[in-house]
Amino acid sequence: MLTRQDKDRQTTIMASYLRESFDHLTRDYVYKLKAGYPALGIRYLHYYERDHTLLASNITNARVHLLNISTGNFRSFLNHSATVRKIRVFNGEIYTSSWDGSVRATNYHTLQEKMRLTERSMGRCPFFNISPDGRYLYSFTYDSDVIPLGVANSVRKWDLRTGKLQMIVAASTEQKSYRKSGSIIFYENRLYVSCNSGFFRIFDLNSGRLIKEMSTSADFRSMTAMFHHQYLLASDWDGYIHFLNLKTNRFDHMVKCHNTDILCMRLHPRNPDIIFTSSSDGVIKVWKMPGFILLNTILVDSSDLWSMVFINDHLLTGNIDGEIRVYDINDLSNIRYKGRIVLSDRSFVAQATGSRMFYTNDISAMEVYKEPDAVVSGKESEYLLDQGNNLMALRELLGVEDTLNGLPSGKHHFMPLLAASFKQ
Amino acid sequence: MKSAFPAIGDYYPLCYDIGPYQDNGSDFATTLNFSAEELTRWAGRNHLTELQTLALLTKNAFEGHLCHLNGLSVKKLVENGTIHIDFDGDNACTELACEFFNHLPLYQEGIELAWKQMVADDPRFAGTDIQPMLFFILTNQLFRLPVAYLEAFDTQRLNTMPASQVNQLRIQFILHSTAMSHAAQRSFIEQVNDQYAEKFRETISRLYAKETVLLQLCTKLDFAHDPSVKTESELEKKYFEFLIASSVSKHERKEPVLNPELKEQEEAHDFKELLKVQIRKLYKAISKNCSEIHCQLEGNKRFRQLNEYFIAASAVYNALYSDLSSLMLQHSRLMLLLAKVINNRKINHLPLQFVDFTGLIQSQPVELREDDLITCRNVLQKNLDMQRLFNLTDYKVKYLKDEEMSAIHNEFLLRQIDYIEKRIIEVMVEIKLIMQNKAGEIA
Repeated sequence: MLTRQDKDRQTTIMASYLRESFDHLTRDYVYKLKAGYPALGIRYLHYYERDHTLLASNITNARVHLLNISTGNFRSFLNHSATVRKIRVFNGEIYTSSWDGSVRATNYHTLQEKMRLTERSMGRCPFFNISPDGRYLYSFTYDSDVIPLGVANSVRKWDLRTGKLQMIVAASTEQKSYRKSGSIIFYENRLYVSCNSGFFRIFDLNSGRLIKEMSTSADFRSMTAMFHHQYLLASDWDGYIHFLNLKTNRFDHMVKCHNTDILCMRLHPRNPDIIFTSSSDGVIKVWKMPGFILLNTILVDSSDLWSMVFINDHLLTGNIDGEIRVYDINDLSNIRYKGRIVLSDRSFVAQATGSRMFYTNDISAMEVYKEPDAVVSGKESEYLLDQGNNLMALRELLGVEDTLNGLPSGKHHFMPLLAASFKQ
Repeated sequence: MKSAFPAIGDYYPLCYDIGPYQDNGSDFATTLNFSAEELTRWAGRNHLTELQTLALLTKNAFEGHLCHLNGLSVKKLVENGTIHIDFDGDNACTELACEFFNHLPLYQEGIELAWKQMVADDPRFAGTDIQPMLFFILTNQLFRLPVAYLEAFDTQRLNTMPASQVNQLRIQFILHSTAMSHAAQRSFIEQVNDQYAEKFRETISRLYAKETVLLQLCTKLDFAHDPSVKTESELEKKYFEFLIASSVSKHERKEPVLNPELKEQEEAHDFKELLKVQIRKLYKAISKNCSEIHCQLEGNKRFRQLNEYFIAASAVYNALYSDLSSLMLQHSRLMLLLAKVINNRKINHLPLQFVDFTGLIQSQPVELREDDLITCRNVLQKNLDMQRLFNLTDYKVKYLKDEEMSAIHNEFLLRQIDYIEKRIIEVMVEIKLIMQNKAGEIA
C-alpha cells in the first residue's frame, strides 16, 4: 500500500512533469489579454469561503459577479440599478448595498432577489453591517442626497426576518464638507458610527440612544476594529488613521499613513496584530500592532484601491483600472505579486506571473503571440489557446487545495491537454 | 427474425413485439403508422394484459414522436439505442427516451383516449387508472423491453393507488428521467474517450509508455535525493518496494468519497436504501443473463455483446457510492445495460435468467421530497460538468471532428514524446551522478 507521503510524492511529480512539459512545448509562445478588453473598475470584493467564491462589484454598472475559484464557475446578477458598494453572504443570502439607496438580499444559489430594504428618504447606501445575533441589518446612508436640508447621514435598523424598518438614528446632523463617507462597527452592545464632516457617534445597539458624540475636523472614511488591542481604527480622507480607545471611548492619537484618502483597512486573517491599508494613492501598506509599525509597502501602480480581501494566504486588491491583483502574503517581509484576475461584464481572465497558463470563461478574450511579436491565428491559435486555458492556473493563483465534488483535487486532475493520454 | 437488425441496443421496437406486422417486408419507417386503435385491438386479440397494452401504446407514441419530431427511423433507434449523439452538429447528446418524457403531456391525452375506447370494447380493463401505470412503465423503463416479458406483473395495486402515492411515483419518474439523461451524457463522454483513443492510438500509446517510464524515473530520482539512501542497491530496493506498493494500490477497492456538499442529502433515506437493494438486484440480473460468457469455452466470441455489457455493468457496479444522485446515476446505467442484455437475449432466442424479475421494479412509492429532486438534479449536473472537464471531452471532440486540428494535435503529441525522451536521458544521468557522489562520499 502506498503511504500518504508516497501519494503526495506522485502528485508532486505528476504536476511538475505536466507543468514542465507544457512550458517546454509552448516555450515559443506568449499568451496575452487582448488589447481593449472591457475591464470593469473594481469597487468591492468579498470572499465567501464556504463555497470558495469571490464576489465583486464594479464602478461601471450595478452587476455583481461571482467567481468560484475552485471550479471556475462564473455567475452574475443585476438586481440593483446603480453601483453596488458592499457585499456580504450571510445565511445563504447575498446582501448588497448600493448607490440606488437600497440594501437587497439575493438568494446565493438562484440569484433571485428575495428582499429589498429601502424607504423614500434613503439616500445612497455605501455600507451596512449585520448585528452579531444575525437578526438585524444596520444600513448607513447619505440621506442628504434625497433631502438636502435634512439629516446628512443616517443609520437604519432593519429586521432581517420581516424586512421591516425598526429604527433610524442620525449618524450626522449636517453636511459640513463636500465629501461623503461613513462606516459602522458593533462592539459590546454598542454601535460605533463614523462619517464625513468629523462626526463620530456611539449608540446603544438596542435602544438607539446616543451615548457619546465626538466631533473632529476629519472626514472619516472606513473603520476596522482591533478588539484584542482595545482599539477601533478610523481612517480619513487625508490619509490619517485615528485610534479610538475602546476602554475610554476617546481618540488617543492619529497616524499619517498614506498621502491621500485611505479606502480600505483589513486585518490579517491569521494574525490580528497585522493590518493592511489601501489608498487612492495606489499603495498598500502593512502595519503591525502594538506600536503601529510599518512592515511593508506594496506599490500597486494603480489608483483607487477600493477594496481588499484575503483568500488562502493571498491578498487580493481591486482597483479602478479593472484588475484584481493577487499577492502572496505568506512572508510579510517578502510580499510577492502572483498574478491578476480581470473582470468584464460577461467574462473573466486569470493570469499568474511566471506561468504560460491562464484561465478564462471566454477564450476570445485572449490571443497568442509567437515571439517576439507575431500574432498566431487560425486553427493553431485556437489549439494553443485551448492548451493554455487551464483551471489549474486559477486554482494555483489563489492557492486552492480543497476537495472538489467528492474527488481529491490533486493538481494532476487539471492537466494540460497535451498529457491527455493519462485519461485513457 | 429478420436480419435487418444485426444487433440490438437498449430499445426493443414495437414492430418486433407485433411479429405479424413485419412479415409484409416493408421498411421499418413505413410500418410505424400503427393507430392506437389497431394496437389495442391487436392486444385484445392476443390477450395481452393491461400493462402490456399500455406499454405497446407508450412504445407507439415514443416511436411516433422520434419519427415525426426528430426524423429518426426505428431502424436507427434499434441500431444506435436511445442515446443519440450529433457529432456532425453541435455535439449534443440526447437521451431520446428522456426527450420523449419531456413531451409526454402531448401524448398522454391520446393514450388516455385510446384507452377509453379500448375499455368500451373490452370490459376486462374497466376501472383501470392508467396514470400510475404509465409512470410505472416509464420510471422502470419497461417500454424498452419486449412486451412479452411484462405478462407476469401484477398491477392490481397500482389501480387502487391513492393520489398522494401517484404524486410520489411522478417525482420518482422525474428523478429517474433526470438520472437517465445524465447516464446518456456519461455515455457520450465515454464514447468520445474511446474514439479519441482509437484515432490517436499509435501516438498516444507511445506517449503513455514513455510518460510511465519518465514518471517512474522521476520517483527514483526523488528517492536518490533521500539522505537515508546511500548505495545503489538501497536505491533499487526502495524503488522496487514503491513499485509494488503502487501496483497494489491501483487495484485496491476505493471507499466512497463523500462530497461535503452532499451532507444534507446524506440523512437516512428509505429511497436510497431501496436504490442500493435494486442496484444489487440489477447487477445480479445482468450477471445471470450474461452467464454464458463464463460457461462456454468460446463464450467471449459467441456472446461478444453480452461480454461487453457484463464488463460495463461490472465497472458501473464496482464504483461505491452513497449519495442519492450518484446512486440514481448508477441505477440508471445498470437499467440501460439490463435492457440491452434482455433485448439481446430475446433477439438471439436465449431464455431469460431472472431470479426475481419483479424485485427489480419499483412499484412501492417511497417518500421523496421535491427538495431531493432539486438537490439531486443540481448535484448530477455539477458532477457531469466535472466529468466533462476531467475527461477534456470538449477538446477531444474538436480533434475528432476537425482534421486540421487533429494534425496540429498529433504534431504536438509527437513533440511531447521527443521532450519526454530527452528528459528520460537527463533524469537517468542525474540519478547516476547522485549515486556516484554518494559512493564517493562513503569511500
